[in-house]
Amino acid sequence: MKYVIKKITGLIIALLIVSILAFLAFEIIPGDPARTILGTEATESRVQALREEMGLNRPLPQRYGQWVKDFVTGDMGISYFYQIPVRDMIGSKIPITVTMTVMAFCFILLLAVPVSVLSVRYENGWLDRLFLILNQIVMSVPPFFIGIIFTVLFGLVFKMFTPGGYISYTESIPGFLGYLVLPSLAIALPKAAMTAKMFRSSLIAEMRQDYVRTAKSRGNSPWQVLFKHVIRNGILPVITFLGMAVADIIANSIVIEQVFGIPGLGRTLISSISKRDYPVVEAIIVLIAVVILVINVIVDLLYKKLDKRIDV
Amino acid sequence: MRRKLMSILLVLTMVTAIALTGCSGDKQEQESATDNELSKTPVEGGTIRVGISQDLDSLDPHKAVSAGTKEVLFNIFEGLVKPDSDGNLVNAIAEDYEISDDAKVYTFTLREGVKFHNGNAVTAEDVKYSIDRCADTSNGGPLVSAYSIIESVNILDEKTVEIRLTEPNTEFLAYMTTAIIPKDYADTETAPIGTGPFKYVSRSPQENVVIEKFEDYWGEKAHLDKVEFRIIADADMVVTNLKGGSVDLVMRLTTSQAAELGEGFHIEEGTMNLVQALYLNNDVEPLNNEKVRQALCYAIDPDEIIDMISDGKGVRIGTSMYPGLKKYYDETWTKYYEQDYEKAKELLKEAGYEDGFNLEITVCSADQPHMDTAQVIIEQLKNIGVNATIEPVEWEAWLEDVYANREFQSTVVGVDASNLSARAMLERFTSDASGNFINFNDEEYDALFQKAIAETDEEEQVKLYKELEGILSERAANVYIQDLANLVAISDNFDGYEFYPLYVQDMSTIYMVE
Repeated sequence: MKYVIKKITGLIIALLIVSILAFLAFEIIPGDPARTILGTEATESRVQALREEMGLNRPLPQRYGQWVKDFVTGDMGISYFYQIPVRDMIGSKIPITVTMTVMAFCFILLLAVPVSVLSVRYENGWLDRLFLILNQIVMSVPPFFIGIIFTVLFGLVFKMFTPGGYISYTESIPGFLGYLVLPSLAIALPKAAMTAKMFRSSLIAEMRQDYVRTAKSRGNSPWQVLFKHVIRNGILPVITFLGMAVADIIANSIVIEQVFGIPGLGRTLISSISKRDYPVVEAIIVLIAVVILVINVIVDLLYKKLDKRIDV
Repeated sequence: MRRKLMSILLVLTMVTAIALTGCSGDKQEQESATDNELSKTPVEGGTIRVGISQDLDSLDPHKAVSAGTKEVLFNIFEGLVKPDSDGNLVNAIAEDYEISDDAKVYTFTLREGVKFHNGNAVTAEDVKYSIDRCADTSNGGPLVSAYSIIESVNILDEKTVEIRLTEPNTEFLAYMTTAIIPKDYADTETAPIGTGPFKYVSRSPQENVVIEKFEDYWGEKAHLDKVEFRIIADADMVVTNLKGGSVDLVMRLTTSQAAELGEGFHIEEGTMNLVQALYLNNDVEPLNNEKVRQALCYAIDPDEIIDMISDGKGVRIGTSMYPGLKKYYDETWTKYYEQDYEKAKELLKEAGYEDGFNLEITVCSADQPHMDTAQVIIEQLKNIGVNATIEPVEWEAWLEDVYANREFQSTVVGVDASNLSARAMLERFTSDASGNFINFNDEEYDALFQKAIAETDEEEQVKLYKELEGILSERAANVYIQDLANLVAISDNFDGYEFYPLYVQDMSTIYMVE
């Protein structure tokens, strides 16, 4: 119970800091939302009138207080640019980014686990060496570049998908999922390579432990040893890494959405920043912060469950 | 020996001849290819997907400000009159109009049988409502600033609306393109209703805007059933998306993008209908000196810029008017300044800047043509000892710092016209105009402008406007460069694209071919 209270207090403080920073950032960067909305034809008096209407002339602490109050009651405000509630707007984008994140995470596991287990089983064999080289290459290519290669290769050369031909989940679920495969894979590949490398070294360190010799001497096959004992112990350091990987996936999805033309949270965030659409930006930033903080809590809990010695 | 030489020559001639015919053969083939494409038969129906670079800033035609939004909304809404592709104003919702001799009363007769997309007929009430809405001053000023001279909008009978002005204005018709929307309709922002050839279907932020054919349109109906405007935020993906087949039409490509496209597309060439110039802040040192500004004009060669940034596509201009506004465009100023470094240095010497000076050019970094132009300008200015640098900024920062606060030295940007009047381009440079971001201040110009707008004889008025253009050029208000080329890539499955002398993308003329 004490643990839960401690975590929740930490989470709230972190969120407050994040949202204050986001508010301050907009104070510092040039550009006025009222003027952006009204454009070049606007007269000074109209800009002032709109600023007043939008409440932009009030002092910063007052605006922030109002925003927090509304946010807590579930009111995220109205998008300056689209004139629709931020909640509806973000609500329609969340499934896209969540699907992509989950997909990318699955790809990381699907690729990293078999590769590292096989590498350890056949340590220093040709397969291990091959994976090592491939890993090193994939790791060093940034996701957006993999994305570009994918679009050219699968889109223009093999014609397996239509670049920029995003299909909304409201239109067709299979089409939607299909379109997200390549972007998710592009995000997942470098992370999968890193995970495999980490998992491999962690497993190898475990293999040198005394209990492995004992297990072997009791007649267990190498595969049995691996699956029954080594993986369970070797996965601990990797879990932290995977937790961070989720944060990374979200960060990378912002860029990948641009490359593949996916109208998800990332693209909405970028366009809202350039449009000075504060309510949308604030909401997305806080949302991402919540996700990352919650993942941290989950990682902690998993640790505790997997290793009873750890007291969190 | 001689014979041998002869035979070599002969062979050479033959080879060249073959090569030449080979070339012309290719050319003929190409021509016939385009012929074939044109001879494809047009069919009704179908869907086109159009790539646009920015999401619409509003679906409310009275509140939308960006040119990219207005050109899409053109398909959904109409005013009493609307522009055609030749730059004339033609009747739309109005069937006829009359302008009083003193140019203070405009009377419009509404067309019979014009329907809104919701099926209701357009009434005089709707017209009054729409114009009043744009003239409303309760939010710090009217939505259409020119409407500040509207005295009253009166319904004479159910088919006749009269607009009374507080002062004569012979060009007010150009402002009557304001969209007519249903009276007291509250959802224009989210579910707009207009009278245009297409009606609004749906939109998804950062994804697309969908419109479909309006079957009850009063005029020539659209050929296509549906148009989807897809947002391509990443300019680098435009060519990939066209080639990959997720969009069929994209406007404003660069020459290199157009060259990359290859088969399956044809490129239509037009101009963007704007005045691209190195706009100079006439109020800061040393640009407040006319001789310095003229020196810059002599140092910068628009032709070289056009060659460098767009392979010679683009139309050189020499004053604040673009060729699309045919009636007002005066070509004599185009070559008023020809590149002459000696003369430029001479002028700088006279102005007391013998050793040159530093010049900062503020450019919106997302506008590649303007960035490229600034780059060429920097090189050209080096020749007269002017050390120019680019200050890249975001559009929002440009809007605030350069346009609103006028805190800049010089900037490369394109200025367009919001309607088909000369005023739309020239009023900006009167000394007290709110859009006079370059701080141009010239008594002669102000006086002449007042004379021009008060003139009721059209021919005389055009002459006065052309004189104003001359002042801008002679006084070197800005270094005028060009009206940028607008390259439109269209899939070979479609045809019928038409250019307008305004920011307009008319989807109703486009049809599918088979």
